[in-house]
Amino acid sequence: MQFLGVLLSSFFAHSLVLSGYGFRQNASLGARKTKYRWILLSFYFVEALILGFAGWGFRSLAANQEMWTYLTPLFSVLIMALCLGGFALLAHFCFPEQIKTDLADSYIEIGLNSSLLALVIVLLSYEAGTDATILVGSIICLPLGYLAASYATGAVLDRLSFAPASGPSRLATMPLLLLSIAGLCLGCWMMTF
Amino acid sequence: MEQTKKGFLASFLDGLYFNNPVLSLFLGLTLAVLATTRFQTALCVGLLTLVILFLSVLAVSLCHSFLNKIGATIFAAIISACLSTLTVLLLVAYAPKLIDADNEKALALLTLVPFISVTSLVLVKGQESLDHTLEDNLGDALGSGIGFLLALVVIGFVRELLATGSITFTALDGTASTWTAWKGWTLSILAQPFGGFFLVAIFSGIHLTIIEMKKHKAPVAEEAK
Repeated sequence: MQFLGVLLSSFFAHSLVLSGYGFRQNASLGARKTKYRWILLSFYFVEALILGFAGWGFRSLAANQEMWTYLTPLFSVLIMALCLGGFALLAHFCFPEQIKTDLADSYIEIGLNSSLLALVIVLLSYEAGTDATILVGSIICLPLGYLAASYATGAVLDRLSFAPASGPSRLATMPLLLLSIAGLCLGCWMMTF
Repeated sequence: MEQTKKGFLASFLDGLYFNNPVLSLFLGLTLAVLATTRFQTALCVGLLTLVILFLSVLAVSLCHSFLNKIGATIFAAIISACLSTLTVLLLVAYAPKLIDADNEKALALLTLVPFISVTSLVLVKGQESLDHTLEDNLGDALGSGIGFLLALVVIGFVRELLATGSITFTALDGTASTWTAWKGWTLSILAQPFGGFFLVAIFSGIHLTIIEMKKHKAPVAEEAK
């Protein structure tokens, strides 16, 4: 039940996209025009799992030595950089040219992502003695909630970028996507209280 | 890699106004949404981002000859992660009251500063540094940093004022002083993530409208001459 609770709250109430973490990256995650985007989604999820379990380790270290609380973001970025470098090498040597062209540089934004750092900070913010189910649930479900929310908001982005003529001309300079996300946040906030 | 040259002042103005990171390019939105809940937090995060962005771009520009696109992004992220960790340690050592988690009036800097290292503003500017000369890069980093700071400060001021009806300042010793503009009527929902997205969108819309109007006026003025 705790696991399901974390999954639901990560999507509806504490989604990393809807809280503002990694907002910009959701564009390339959700965009339908990228045919092989499932590779990006898988890469993000695997990296989130690696970082999540590393975050659990940092949490244990921070319990004994406070210094680790402050050093955790630095080491998290180093792990992200290693994952990105590993993925770049994998793409370079193993992927067909078509997939490499399709993904282009969008995996840079996915690999170095503020929502991944948010995942680690969420793990650190849980009180000492928190049940392991909640920690494992957060490690798995927060990135899943992020992916689901970014897929949903990516569809909004696609609609806006493919059909700009359908909007009123007087609103041409209004960032409608941001307003749509604001509405989504408002809806989720009203739903949870 | 072939580098283009625009000049320091043109790059500075471009980053500051025409291609403002928050209002035109939508870079660093995580920080813009999270840091603007309080005016003072927005000011501190804006200033720290300016310094970290400038130093990261300087480091990437100096090492551009042996970096490619991915290398530059990773390099910028690691440099900025080092600088933001250093900033957090300095805050813990010299201004612990400002980031005290038990103090309601404390700033959320301990959570926010690490995000500077992976903000798209630093990563994108680090990557772009490969295509321009050192002079242009420094002008752009300075202009973008100041533009980011100004956008955050204005949005933070309006957001805190509308959400609470007052502006609160916290001194280094942790004592808070409040300037109250009005009492009773507040829009407390603006303190939620909704407020961040909404106000960034509104200010961005105003900014883009002004730029578009100037673009349309320029050809008319040319024709009149």
